[in-house]
Amino acid sequence: MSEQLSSASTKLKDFAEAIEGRSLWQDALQRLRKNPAAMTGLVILLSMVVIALLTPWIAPYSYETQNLDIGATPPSLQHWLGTDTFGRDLLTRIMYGGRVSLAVGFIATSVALLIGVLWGAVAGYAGGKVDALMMRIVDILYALPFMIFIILLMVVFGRSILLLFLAIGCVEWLTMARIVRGQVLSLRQQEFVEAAVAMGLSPWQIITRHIIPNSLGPIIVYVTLTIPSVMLLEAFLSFLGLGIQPPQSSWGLLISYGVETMEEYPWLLIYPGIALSLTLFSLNFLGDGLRDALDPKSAKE
Amino acid sequence: MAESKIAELTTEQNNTDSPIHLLSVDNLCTDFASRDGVVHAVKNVSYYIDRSEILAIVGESGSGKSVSCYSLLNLIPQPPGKVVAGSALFDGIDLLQCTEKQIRPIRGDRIAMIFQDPMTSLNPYMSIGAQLMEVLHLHQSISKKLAREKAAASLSEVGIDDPMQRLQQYPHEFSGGMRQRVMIAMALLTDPELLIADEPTTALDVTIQAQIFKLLKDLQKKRQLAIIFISHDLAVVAELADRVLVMKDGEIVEQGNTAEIFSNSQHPYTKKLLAAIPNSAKDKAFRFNADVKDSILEVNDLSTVYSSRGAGLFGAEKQFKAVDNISLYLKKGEILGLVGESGCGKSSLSKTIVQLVKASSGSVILNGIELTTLDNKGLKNLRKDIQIIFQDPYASLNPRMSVYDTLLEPLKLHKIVAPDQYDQRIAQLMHEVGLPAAAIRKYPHEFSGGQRQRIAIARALAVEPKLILADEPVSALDVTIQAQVLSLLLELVSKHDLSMLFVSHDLSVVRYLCDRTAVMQAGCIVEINDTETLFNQPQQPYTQQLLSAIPKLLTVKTAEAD
Repeated sequence: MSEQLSSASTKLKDFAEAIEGRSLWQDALQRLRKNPAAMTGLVILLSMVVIALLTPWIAPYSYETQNLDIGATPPSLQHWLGTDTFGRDLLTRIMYGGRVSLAVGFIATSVALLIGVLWGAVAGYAGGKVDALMMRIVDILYALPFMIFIILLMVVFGRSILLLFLAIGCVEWLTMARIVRGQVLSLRQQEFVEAAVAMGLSPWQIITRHIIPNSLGPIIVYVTLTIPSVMLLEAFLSFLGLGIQPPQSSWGLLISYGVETMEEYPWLLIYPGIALSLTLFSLNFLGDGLRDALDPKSAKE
Repeated sequence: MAESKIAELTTEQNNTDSPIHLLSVDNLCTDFASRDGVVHAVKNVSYYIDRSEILAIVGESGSGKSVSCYSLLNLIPQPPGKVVAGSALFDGIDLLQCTEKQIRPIRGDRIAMIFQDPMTSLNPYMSIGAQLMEVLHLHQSISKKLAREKAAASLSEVGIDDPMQRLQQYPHEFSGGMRQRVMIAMALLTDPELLIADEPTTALDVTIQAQIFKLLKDLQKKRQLAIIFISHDLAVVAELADRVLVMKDGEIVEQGNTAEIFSNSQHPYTKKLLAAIPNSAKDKAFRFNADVKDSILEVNDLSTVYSSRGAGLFGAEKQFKAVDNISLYLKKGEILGLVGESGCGKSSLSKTIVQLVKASSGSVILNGIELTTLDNKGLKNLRKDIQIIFQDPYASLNPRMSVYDTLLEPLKLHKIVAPDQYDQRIAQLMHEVGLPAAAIRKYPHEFSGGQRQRIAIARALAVEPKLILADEPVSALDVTIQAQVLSLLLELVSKHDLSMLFVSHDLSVVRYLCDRTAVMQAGCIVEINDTETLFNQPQQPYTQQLLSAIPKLLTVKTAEAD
């Protein structure tokens, strides 16, 4: 016994080196760093967030200052991305619009993610009657017409941007809950989960440490799909007068406005479109990279 | 020039050696391209098989035994696989020169195959009859009625009663052994000259395996059928084969008559394989000192009932009694074996004992504490005394946790050692189960099956349990790895003064390892006794039936040993 202990402790040095950066997240971060596409996506997204946060200070004009004398002008030195029909600077409006769109995208998706993952994981893990009950609630919410649900919320609680985030999030979590539940149902049968039970872990520990990490792949993919759809949903609601009010703006609104004037003033469609697509591309690359990085199997060189 | 001469020479040799070989394979080389470069899966393999002969190809997983046969029929995935060199003359045709189109009439018609897993090799959405007749229609143009008659005839040939009725049924209505019979019937439909059987009985229980062997032997005699039998298990092969080929790392290390190989093996690897077959009482003496101390585990009248709901919220409940009034005890330091065929409830019993499955009635007493009525908190504290090792080391480890995290979790949870000692304790655990400390950061998929099982054992040991339940811990492993893991278990049990309940369907493993053995059938224990007594003088007819189904080599060997 003591022999083994001493020989084990002699190995302790290289052992200590070996265990550095040992958690899944640290490993994943290391692997993510080696993925150029994902890193590019991350950098673009981060810079967009930084620009959005700093907009009030760095924007060249005010988003509501009109200049009816010049009307819509193509990109020029004064107005880098041109102006809209009211003579408002497009670059400024895109920057302010980004604040709304990014906030809606990330906050509403986080709400959906939080509720959906927990709901699905608990339902799938508990099984039986709890599961049946929880999923029937999801079914009922699914069956409610989305528009009526949101309009109802707006009517009851009044109109505010925060409520808009919550309302969208509250609708989007349903699909997430179903996806996660499906994953959990198959994971729960796995022997490593049984081994965790036999070890004495509580259900909550098992869900957070064994089950959710193993269903990250589909969750991440679904998140990268949800963020853009949430951004477009906001544009739709704003178009109906339920979301952002003019003269405030969002990418979705700018794009739908740009579509109307596409033939005369194409830049009003092109630049907001580029801003949105760039975000979505970055999200997709980052999502793919994250999914691979979090799966130890796929990430070995 | 020189090459053609060599080619001439070899063909001449073939001709003079044995012009009548049904199949002769010469210098077969198959490569697989992988990310780490080219892997030579099969290197210069030559063999032959004659009519009505059974040739066994034996080797561990990854030895190239399957690839060497699949290469012949153009069945390896290409790319990455590629047959690089060699020839395979089957009745005058070089199979390796054939195009896919030329080989299709041979494959499945003159050369038939059966695969390891009868559960997945039949289409669950087609009736057995439709699947059998599809084969016939593919290779012969015959009427539907005739095809049906032929299909029924071949079913009755493989020993399935009431064939006309059975043709209407779907695969899920057949048991594992029956499905393998259907597979054999399907392979025989077209009257093949050569049958390639790739581990056809590995997934089956020992009594079913014995029946399938008898069937294969009968067919070989009756039909003059040549059979290539691929297996990882030497004991199985001994009973069946005329000649044996031993493969390792893509090469044939030894070949010869079965009797020769077993009595007078030349190559050290063959000797190692033979030695790895667990046989009877060796190693027993040193550890059977477990005297009548107090029992650590007592199970009284334990029953487990699974109830499954019908469809929907309000479906009617169905009940199935998996464990039926079982009582047993386990003494300190003792290894109790639990054997039985699949579905007999042995896994349910062990899961009920560790409280993974709730008992319906009865009691489980560990160290004087009743487990079935404990609340969650009390149960958590007791979990550390009783650990379970699962069958499949690929499923029992969380794929997203490194070895370090896997071993850290129990240490943290039960506060086994102080936080500053975690690393040292983990290094010690790794050392104990024979894993390199440098592997600590790796993830489960980077280990082989045997190493993964060692990790699972280390995880079980981490909490310093008093009792270990091992649920078929070695049945997913190669035979030499099996022997290593078994001796590791034995060593750990005696070192830490553990008790173990060892669940297995493999009687020879149980005989090697266990002090006492219990035989289970349909949820009940039919016989329980000292291992040697049980094996030498089985009392119950079911036990006798089980024992007689063990492949012969073992019985011969143990008789010699005695």
